[in-house]
Order: sequence, then structure tokens, then C-alpha cells
Amino acid sequence: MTETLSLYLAFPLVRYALIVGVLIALCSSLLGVTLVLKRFSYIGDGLSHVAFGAMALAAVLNLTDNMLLILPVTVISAALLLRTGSSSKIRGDAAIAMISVGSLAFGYLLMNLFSTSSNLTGDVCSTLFGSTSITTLKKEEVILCVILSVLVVIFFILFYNRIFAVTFDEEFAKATGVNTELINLLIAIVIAVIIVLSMNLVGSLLISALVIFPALSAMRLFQSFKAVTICSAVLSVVCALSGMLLSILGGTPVGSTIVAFDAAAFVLCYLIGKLRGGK
Amino acid sequence: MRKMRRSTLYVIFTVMFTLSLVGCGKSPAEDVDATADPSTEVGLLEPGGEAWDVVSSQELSQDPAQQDEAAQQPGEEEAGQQETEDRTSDEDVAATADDTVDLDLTNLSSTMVYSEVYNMMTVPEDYIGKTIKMNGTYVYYKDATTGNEYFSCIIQDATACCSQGIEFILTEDYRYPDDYPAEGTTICVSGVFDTYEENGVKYCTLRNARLV
Repeated sequence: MTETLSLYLAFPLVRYALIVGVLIALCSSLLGVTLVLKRFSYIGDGLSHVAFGAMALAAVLNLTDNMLLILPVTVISAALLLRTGSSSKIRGDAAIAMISVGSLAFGYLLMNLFSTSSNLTGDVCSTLFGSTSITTLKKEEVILCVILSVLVVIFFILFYNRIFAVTFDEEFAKATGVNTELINLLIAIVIAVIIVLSMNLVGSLLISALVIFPALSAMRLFQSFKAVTICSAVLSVVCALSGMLLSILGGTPVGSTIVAFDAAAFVLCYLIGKLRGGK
Repeated sequence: MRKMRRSTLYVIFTVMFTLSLVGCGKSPAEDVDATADPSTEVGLLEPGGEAWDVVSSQELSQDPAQQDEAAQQPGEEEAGQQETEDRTSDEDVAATADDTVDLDLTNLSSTMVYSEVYNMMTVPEDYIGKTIKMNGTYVYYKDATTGNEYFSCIIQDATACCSQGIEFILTEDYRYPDDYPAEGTTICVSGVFDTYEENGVKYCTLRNARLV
């Protein structure tokens, strides 16, 4: 086992996958707590489908660096979704559902009509479930991921108090002078960045699990925002690392193996919480 | 009591969900036994070597007329009129696939094999001259226009939705079809990695290959 692992670690693709996987897991868990508490758990799913649509468009346009299209489109959608969510005409869940299925259908339609690849099934499956995207990263993609992850962590540390205020009592935060609209917009942008990064790791259908599971697991064990955030980050990184290692060693699908670890961690935390007499 | 029953159901559901997700995977052995499905791909490289495209086994199994049509990729009409280059590269690979193997894919998990073959397709220059050993599904294709015959070893990823493969050229000791395996069987092939151009498209191949 150790020999096989050291053999695999000699491959740059495995080292890249582990670095990117850990960073994505860390970033997704940081804002997962906020999303769950703000009842925005499903926004990740909606945005991931938008990213899928943008990815399909990038593939049709034969863009060498599809990030250049996916990132702006997802960020704009996140901002619009947040704005639409607060308007009276189309609210929260309806807006997310509309954008989610619309983008998915649009993306698949584009791939069907204009894709130059003969393996449409493979392309769609790879985008939806991640497939082996994480183990086929190029050095430039790893560098981009590291830069974006560092920016996300810096944002979270700098805006920690304001994120906390907006998460628990937006009205009170507004009354105390916090620009809640700006904070919400920044959160949406950061979420969009995380979603785009996560697509490489688990694919667009499983992203929500990466955002929600660690936060929910941590909430079974701790009560304070800080403790839950730290525990969520640790759980997410451990699960992502374990999932990736098992996947690489055992030849299982990367995304679903990571999510399986996240789900197992949730069960464990739930049972520990029960034993401790929690909720 | 009712709360406890609900909790138990909740735990059972989560465990089932976890198992179902893990069950999606395929063991390396299963991957080796898998036969080529319609979405099977053989890697082609664009002249720039950056982007890569695929030829599916659907195309491989079409009738000659359809094959001709499928072979005419957009923007390749002009290239198609050119005389097909000799499939052996200008600089013949002197090395032969002996017992020394630089990269043994048979010892790797399906996730690793797929990723490594993907790398070969995207960055072929890193692998040229290396002896590669791999196992996968044997696929045969004959181009009706040029009369060229192509032999490929196809591998699948862990989700079983993506496949790709490498073409191989066996040594002259092997005579087609007597010494070749039946299409769709699992083979283990060892050869020296190289690239060549045909109709303006760069292809990867294993030269001086032999069946192990």
C-alpha cells in the first residue's frame, strides 16, 4: 500500500490533484457554513449548472482556456441570482431552479448541436461527474487554482466579522452600518469562484455536497460559528484527501468517492452528536 | 421512540447513499475486461499539439462510405486531398520494445491509467522514445480510402463514461490477421511511444510493439 502510494506520488498529476483537491475542499467548506445558515444551500447547485452551460459554450467556441468564459459567466449569474432573490417578482428557490435547469439544458443542447467531439457522452459525463478532471490538470491550472484559493481564504479572513454579521442577522448588520448588499455580492462572487474551481474536483452535479456536507457535519459537533467553520474546514480537507487517495489507489471515480467520504463523516458526526446528547 | 426510529431510518439512508456512490466505481480488473463501447476514443492531436480530439469506435465501425465522410473533419478537406504521408515517421524509432519498460501502465489503477494516457495525448513530447506497457481492449480499424490498417489498445476511466486509447504498430514478426487477437479482447501491449502526422493531424502510436 505504502509502496503503491509512493509510486503514484512520483507522478506530477497525482501531486497536482492532491494540492488542488485540498485547496478546493478548504475554500468550499469556509463559505459552506454561511450558505447553509443563510438557507442558500442550493445556490451551489444552480451556479454549477450555469458553469456547465458556460463550459459547453467554451467547448463549442474551441477556447483553449475555458476558465476565461466560465468564471465571468458564473460570477455574473451569482450576482444576478442574488439580486433576483431579493426582488419580489422571482424569488429565491424559483430563481435558482430556473437558472439551474435552464443552464443545464442550454449546455447540453449546445454540446449536442455544435460540439466537434465525437464522444459527447464522455464529455457530458466528465463535466457532470468530474470524472478524472482533477488528475489531468496542467501546471497553469494548478497555479490559477492556488491563486484563486489564496484570494478566497484572504477574503474570508478579512471579512470574517462582516460575514458573521450578515449570516446571522442581516437587518441588525444593516442597522449597524454594514453594507450588507456589498457583502452579499462579494459572497456570491466568491461562491462562483469556488464552484468553478470545484468542477474539476467533483463535477457540476456533486458540488453542492462539497459545500454542504462538511458544514452540516460540523454543526452536529459544535455550536459556535468559529468552531463550526474550523471543524468544517478540517473535515472537508480530510475527506477530500482520503477520497482522492482511495480513488487513485483503488480506481474509483474521484468525485463520488470524495462525496462518499463526506457523507460517511456526516453519519459519524451525527452519531457522535447523538451520543453527546446534542440535537 | 418515534424520533429514534426516524434517526435510524436517516442513518440507513445515508449509509445506502454512501454505498451507492462508492458502487459507481470499477475495479481495475473490471476495466480491463470491459469491451469497447460506442464512445470509445483513440487520441488524435491537433497540429499545435495543445488541443486534442478523438475518433470514436462508432466511426471505426461504420461502413466505408460513412467512414470516408466521418474522416473529413471540418477544415481538413484540403488536407484530405494531400497525399497521405508515410505512416512511419521520418526519424525511425530505433528502439524496440524489449523487456525494459519505462512506463508500466498495467500496475496502475484505472484512474491513474486514464490520467496518464490523457497526458500522453496532451503532452506527447514528454513520452516520445519511452517504452510503454499497457493493457486494454483491442480495436481494429481499416481506412477504406487509404487502405491503412490501425490497431489500438483502448482504456476506460473509473466512471466508465470516458475511454481513450493508443494506436500500436506490431513488429514485422506479427502477421495480420493470424497473429492478431480477436477484436474486443483484452490485450497487453508493449511498444515505443512516438507520434506521426497524417493529413495534417498528429497521432500517437506505439512503434515496434509486441503483444505480451
